[in-house]
Amino acid sequence: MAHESHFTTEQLTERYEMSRKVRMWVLGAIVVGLLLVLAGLLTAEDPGAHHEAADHASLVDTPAGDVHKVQDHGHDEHADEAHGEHGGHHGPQHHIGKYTGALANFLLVNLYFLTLAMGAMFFMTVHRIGNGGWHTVFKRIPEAMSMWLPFAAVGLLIVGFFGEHLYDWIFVHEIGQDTLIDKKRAYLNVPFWAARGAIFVGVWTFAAWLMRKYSISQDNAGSVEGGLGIFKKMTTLSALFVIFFAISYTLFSIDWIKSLEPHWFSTIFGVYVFAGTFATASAVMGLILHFLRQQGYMGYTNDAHLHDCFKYAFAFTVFWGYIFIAQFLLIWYSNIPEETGYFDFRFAHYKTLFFVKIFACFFLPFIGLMMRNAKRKSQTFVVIGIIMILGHWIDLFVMIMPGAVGEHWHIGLTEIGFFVLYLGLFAFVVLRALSKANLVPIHHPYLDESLHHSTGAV
Amino acid sequence: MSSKSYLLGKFWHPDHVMDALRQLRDMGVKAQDVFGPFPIHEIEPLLDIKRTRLTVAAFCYGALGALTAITMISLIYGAIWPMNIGGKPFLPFPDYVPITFEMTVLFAAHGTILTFFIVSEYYPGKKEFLMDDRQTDDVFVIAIDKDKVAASAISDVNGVFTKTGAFEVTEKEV
Amino acid sequence: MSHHESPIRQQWVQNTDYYTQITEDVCRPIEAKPNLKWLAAFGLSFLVLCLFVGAVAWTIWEGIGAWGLNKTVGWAFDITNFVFWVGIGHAGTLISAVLLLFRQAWRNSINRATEAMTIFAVICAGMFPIIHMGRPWLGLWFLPMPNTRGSLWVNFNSPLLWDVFAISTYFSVSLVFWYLGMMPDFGALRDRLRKKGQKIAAKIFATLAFGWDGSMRTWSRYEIITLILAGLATPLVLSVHSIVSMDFATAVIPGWHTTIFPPYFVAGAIFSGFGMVQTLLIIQRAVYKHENYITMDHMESIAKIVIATGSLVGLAYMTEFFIAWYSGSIWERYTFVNRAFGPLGWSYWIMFSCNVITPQLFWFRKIRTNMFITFIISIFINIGMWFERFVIIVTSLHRDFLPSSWSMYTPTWVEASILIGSFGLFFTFYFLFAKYLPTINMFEVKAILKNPKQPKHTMEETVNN
Repeated sequence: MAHESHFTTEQLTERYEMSRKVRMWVLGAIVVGLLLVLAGLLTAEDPGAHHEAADHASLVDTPAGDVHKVQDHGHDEHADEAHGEHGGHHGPQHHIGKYTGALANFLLVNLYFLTLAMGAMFFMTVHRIGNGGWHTVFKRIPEAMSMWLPFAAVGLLIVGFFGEHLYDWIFVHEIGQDTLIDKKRAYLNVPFWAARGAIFVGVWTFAAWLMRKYSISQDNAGSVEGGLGIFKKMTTLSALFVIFFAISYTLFSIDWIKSLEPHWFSTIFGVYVFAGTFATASAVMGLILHFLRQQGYMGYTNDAHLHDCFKYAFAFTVFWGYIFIAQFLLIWYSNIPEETGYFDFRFAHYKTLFFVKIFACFFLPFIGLMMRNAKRKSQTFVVIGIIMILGHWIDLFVMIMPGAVGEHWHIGLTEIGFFVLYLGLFAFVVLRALSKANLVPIHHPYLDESLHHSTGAV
Repeated sequence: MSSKSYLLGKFWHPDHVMDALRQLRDMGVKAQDVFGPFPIHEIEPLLDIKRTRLTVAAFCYGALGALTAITMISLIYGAIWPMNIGGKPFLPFPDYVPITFEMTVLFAAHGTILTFFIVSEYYPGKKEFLMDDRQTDDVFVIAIDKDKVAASAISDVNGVFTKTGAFEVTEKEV
Repeated sequence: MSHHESPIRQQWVQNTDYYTQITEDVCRPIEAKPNLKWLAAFGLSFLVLCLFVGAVAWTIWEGIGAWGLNKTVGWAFDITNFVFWVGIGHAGTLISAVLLLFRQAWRNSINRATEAMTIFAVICAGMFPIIHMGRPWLGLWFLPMPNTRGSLWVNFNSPLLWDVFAISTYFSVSLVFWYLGMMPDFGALRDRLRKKGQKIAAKIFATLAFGWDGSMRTWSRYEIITLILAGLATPLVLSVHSIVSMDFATAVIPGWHTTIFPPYFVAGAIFSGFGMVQTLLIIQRAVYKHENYITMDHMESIAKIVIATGSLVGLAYMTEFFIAWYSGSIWERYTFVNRAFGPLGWSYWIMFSCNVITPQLFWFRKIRTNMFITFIISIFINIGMWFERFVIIVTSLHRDFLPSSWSMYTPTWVEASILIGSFGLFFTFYFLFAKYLPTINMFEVKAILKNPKQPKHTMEETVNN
């Protein structure tokens, strides 16, 4: 069936090609990132020299590397009992060595870009089952983003091998050392944890691969009618994926982030991670679309597509704020020691970052994206998008670091290096995936709607 | 109100209305208004309807609501009637969130609706402005102010109405 | 009206060729004299309402002692009913606001009835805190205003006060949203009734219509304000049940204090609301023969939302259970074991089977399209969601920190009558609405009618220039 649209066939069958300039930038980011990481590792100092000694009870912000007051706490039973009863506000029990910070950062960047890929997966599957059609023209962008998943799997696998340097419950492996962890051993044990990680990331990667395979085979179907069978398959796959996603993402966030502080618990945690995931992924999707339009591709998209991308970013920024305050308010209000330790520790050692994160993840995007034009004009949404990207990083940083390195965090060469390196790698994977297939799913039944998408009155 | 004369074109299909308006625009004739049982999309530019600033009003009312809530709680709780509840501080900011949010929405919603009624001049018991008593059911009426159309152009206007599918072309004094 | 709409999309209005047919179908019940079936249904709900009034009067006369509460279980039926009815009141705004923002056209023909349901459910909910005061005439003390009681102020730290703000905002905003949506339809009714010579009714609708004339200038503004209100109502609907959940979650009681409560309550509320939507719409479309507007596809879409929210609720139950175990806290662990296997365990399993297992039947198309089974399932969902609140409230309370003060809770006839009676209140309102107001949003359905035909009355007339 012919599309009754004023876009030419050449326009709709265009492919992305990485220009020389883009190639240079991507390569540059990878090289610079790698150099920064190396420089960071070479200049890393050992906070562990005083870690065992630092008196956590005094909750004083100690600059990393500043050795003072030696007082051996060790792991005597009394101290552990205290740990057991009062949650994780004493900082991690494992040894914090020279490279623990770098390892934690490696975990951070891997989780960070995994959330972007998962946000994209969620976006396209939920649009499929909800019969959303407006995004069809740029559907290849979330598809390309989800192609990052196998690389995240590799990163997490590497982290997994060094788990005992980050996760207290792996480090404290003898029964009787920590009563609270002992109670959770049925769930928090290395074989089960590794199996869960393998299954979750494996299934997600497979689903992403299958979604993309279906989508590309639809292009070769010859006509919209010919692709309807594939369309139905995508619907089924999407429904199955969303169910699996809901369960697995909850557990995944417990396994890889929450269990860094194994004494602490919060039922909303999975939802909280999801909120940040989806808000940032929507913004990144919008930015990639904007980038492609800047490069002269996707002339058939219009401001309405960008507008709706950033509407999602806006809406889920608010959702993040809602989930954040739900978790914080309830824990703050009830003031139960098992729970407040989590925030106590952050207030003692991460106070600035904690508030920066609230601004970058909620207030600034909320104010910045509220007006209609802000979601359509690149001057605003690029700035706000970048703020959201950084905010999500800080959010994960504040979630991960206290359990991984205690108060010995710093943002320096390694941190920036890892982010730049992974940004380059992510960009490379996504852009390469985009160049591998048609930029538009030409036989998608909702394509014509999407080409004429308008946001209506607003 | 002095009575005014309108040229009316009555249509049964919204697409015909859009056709007629486009042709009228090309002739340089502006329609005063179109009446119909439901909104026609993208008609705004053809009728020179400017984008409403109700969104800005909503934002202002919302900000006022938030400010009212914060002021109210801080005054009552911090100054007039400080209470020690569970050892919480006298100005417990996290506790402000629910009420501040509700007041924001309350002010924004009601303020905007009131503004809408005022700018649209709608109030209970207002006499309605009917060009045709079917315009709330299934008829679309294009109304053109007769004074703004040159006498010679009237037949052209009526011609456009007929050509684009009007089932009735008439005049009405209101 | 988009000409680029995908051909594979469903048609949400079926077997309808003329705009006026929609007006006719929606207005017919309003113009007709009340028939026997309606009178019987209304009479029955009015009788049940009398039971409500009687039981409430008895409570106020006798005091809260007329209920089965004791010092351990100080909250039971009243707050359960409150949360239950607030929950029912969530689907309407979700349909009218959230689905509008998501441009789901199928909401257009069901939003009116569900918004009405929302408003009546919130009225029912609002009764319970007032009844539980024991001295309802002191209800004004809830408001933060200067007074002569030594200038006694409300406690802004209390989630119960947050409820006052949340519920009153929600009620008033939903009400104006509903009213605003009806204004064009009131205009249509006014013009119709005037033509039919029903002068008094026409006069009433003319007053209610605020002089609505269908000017495109107003329509343009009207669409924007609808979207503004939808944008405001969307976070509002999330906030209301979140704040209701904080009545429990801010406490330190195991089983109450858990951080997932806000989103979990919202999911549960939407779930229960859609259960009630199914119950009501199945009746309405059959009685009023509105199958062309509330089509099988509508019922299927609702069923799909029921699966989604039911599964989310199931996920929340399991997360709660899992984290209770994961926390390692003996109190948390005991509460949940007691919830499922203690003396009130039966209520837990009613809740679980009704809310998590029953909706899974909707995975089968045959069941989604069978209105009889759907109706039964929807009743189960209503029961299950009432029990969910009962489980949360009573099982967490009845065995508290001190085993010496453990106790059981048995409702008295007064509480049971108030619960049953509140359905009388709800259905009295609902039957009045169904008889005297347009149950389907006429203008929104007209707007999505594809390929209308030329009405006959426009063919007869000639150009009289």
